[in-house]
Amino acid sequence: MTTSTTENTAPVVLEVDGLKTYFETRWGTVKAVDGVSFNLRRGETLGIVGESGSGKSVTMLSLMRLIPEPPGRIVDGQILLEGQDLVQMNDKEMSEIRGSQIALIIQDPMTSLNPVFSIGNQVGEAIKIHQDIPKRTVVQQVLNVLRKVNIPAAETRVRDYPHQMSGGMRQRVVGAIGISCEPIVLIADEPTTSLDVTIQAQYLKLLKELQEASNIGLIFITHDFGIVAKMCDRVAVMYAGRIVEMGDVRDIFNHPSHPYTEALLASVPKLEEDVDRLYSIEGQPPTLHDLPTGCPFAPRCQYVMDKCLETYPLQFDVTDSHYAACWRLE
Amino acid sequence: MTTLEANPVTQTTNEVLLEADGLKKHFPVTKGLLVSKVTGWIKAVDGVSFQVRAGETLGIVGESGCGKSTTAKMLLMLEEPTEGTIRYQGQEIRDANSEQRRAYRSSVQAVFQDPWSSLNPRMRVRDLIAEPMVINLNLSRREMQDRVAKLLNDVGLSSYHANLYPHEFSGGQRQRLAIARALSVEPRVIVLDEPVSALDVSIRAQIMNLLMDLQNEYNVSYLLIAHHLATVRYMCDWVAVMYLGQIVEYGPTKELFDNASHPYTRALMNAALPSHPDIEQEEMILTGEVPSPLNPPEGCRFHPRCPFVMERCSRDIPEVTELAPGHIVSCHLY
Repeated sequence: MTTSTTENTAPVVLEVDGLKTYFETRWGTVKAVDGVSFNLRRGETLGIVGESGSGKSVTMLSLMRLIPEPPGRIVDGQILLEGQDLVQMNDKEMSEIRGSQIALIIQDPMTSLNPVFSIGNQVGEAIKIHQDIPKRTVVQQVLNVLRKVNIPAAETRVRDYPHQMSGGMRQRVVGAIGISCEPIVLIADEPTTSLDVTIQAQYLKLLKELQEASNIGLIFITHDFGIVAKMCDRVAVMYAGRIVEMGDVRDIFNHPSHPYTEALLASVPKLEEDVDRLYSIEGQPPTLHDLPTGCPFAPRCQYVMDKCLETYPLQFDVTDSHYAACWRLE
Repeated sequence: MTTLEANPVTQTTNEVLLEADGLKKHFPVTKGLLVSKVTGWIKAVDGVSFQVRAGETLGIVGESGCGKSTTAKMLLMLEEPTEGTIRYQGQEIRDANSEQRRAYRSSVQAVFQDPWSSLNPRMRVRDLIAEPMVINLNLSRREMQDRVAKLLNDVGLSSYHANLYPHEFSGGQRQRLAIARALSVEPRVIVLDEPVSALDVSIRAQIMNLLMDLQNEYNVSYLLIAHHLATVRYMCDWVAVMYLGQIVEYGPTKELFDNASHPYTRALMNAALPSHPDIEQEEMILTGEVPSPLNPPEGCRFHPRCPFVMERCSRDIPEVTELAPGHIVSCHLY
């Protein structure tokens, strides 16, 4: 929703190309992420939308190189962060980048903070690891970061433990850890699901301000099209491990071109108007170790054709910046 | 804030099934281990009144800690109200004898948020769904089996599912099982506590539509506890907005959404996520967080966060004003 004119010329900071992350399980190979490509420009907000099992969280973990190996493995593809390929890095190289250049805001602030360390300790940890600076400066930086995320009375709260803070405050602390080393790319994984509506609004506003202040490339991993509508410039819709549609946020909302996107948008009740009956997608998302041949959405698709059951659809351009993987666009 | 008057003028003629009047629940805060002393009271629910009409849906919206779940628990007789009355078909349930209480319990059923923890993992679906019938109805095995098969069919599953265990179902299917179980004793009211918020987006619409179809078929009333305003707008005939244990605004859904009047209701609507990127929202982000119900603010409980706060708000408890038929609000602005 920000100024979209400048963004198209901003440099690409993250380029993901043909990313495949598979898990070996006793039911066979689970292709959790199966050929995902996208890029992210400086200062841009990308939303990755999908339901559980769509591969959005595994994509996020792959970007952070946090896939548990075994059973998981990045089988193929590149993740270029300002030109350096994260997939090829060894653990030591990666740990220097993780948290400093690419950072993560985790879903649940109730469980992602360590209850036995003070807030200051936890926010300072990343700073200590990534920057070679004296202790006093670390404390100063921690205070700065806490002030940036609008924590009142940062000087005293820095000594607090997580249980002494409310949910909204804890979420800010998690956000503070994310931005503490001024990353180039920040990934927010369902950052507001456990928050109340009014606290969520405060937090989203804060994230937007932080992003604009330091021109971070922001990736929202979410299942909520509301967050996408409010926050994102571009959207990637994932289904069964692949991106089925991608485009500018307005293109996606005004001309959803993949039947899944269309159905998802139609199945969300609206606050602004009365809807007599919601469209509902029948069936459930497929299990990933047993994907049908052809388009994985075909069994639930209202426009299904013979071809859909045989071959996975190619990507077809709707406009220059908008594509969908559906045979109807052929 | 005084208790909202129990009898808002309404256009609908459906009979009032379930009625709460000045309902309060205060939990004691104690200190000391052996000789414990009450040091304060958490006023989880502090004087709410509302009506659930036959075949209609009342939604209760609010943020965590506003008392909506405690209200639901009192209606389910899981908590004893500190003060106030609950009337079912005109009869006060506090005065009811054990036979009437048992009848009440079977006519008011519940579906909870999390279908992973609300179904016993060791029971087969057949027994899960039949359990309320075993307790409340006197049916033969044969009749019971037929009922289970019909219920499974009504909630969109098949009769062969009766032999499976809950872990063999997906989240949406489990919620269907929970609904079948609640419907098994033909209740008049079902309390739905966040019935879709734990489900995937594409499944939510399925369950919401199913609930609305079943409402028509079984002529059952719903009390929907939710925090997602759009869900409430879609499913409810009446809406009550709660803040810190009290109802701040109450009215028919369309009227309330079109003319939201209490600053808190308006803030909730502005904070809700838009359904389209072009929807411009009024910038009205509340500062701070919900105060503790242990020590609620004087006067209007919302005044420390209210953008339109006036001097008298911190002093006087606002009166209840009726803005339109059935639409009541308690705020000094009106």
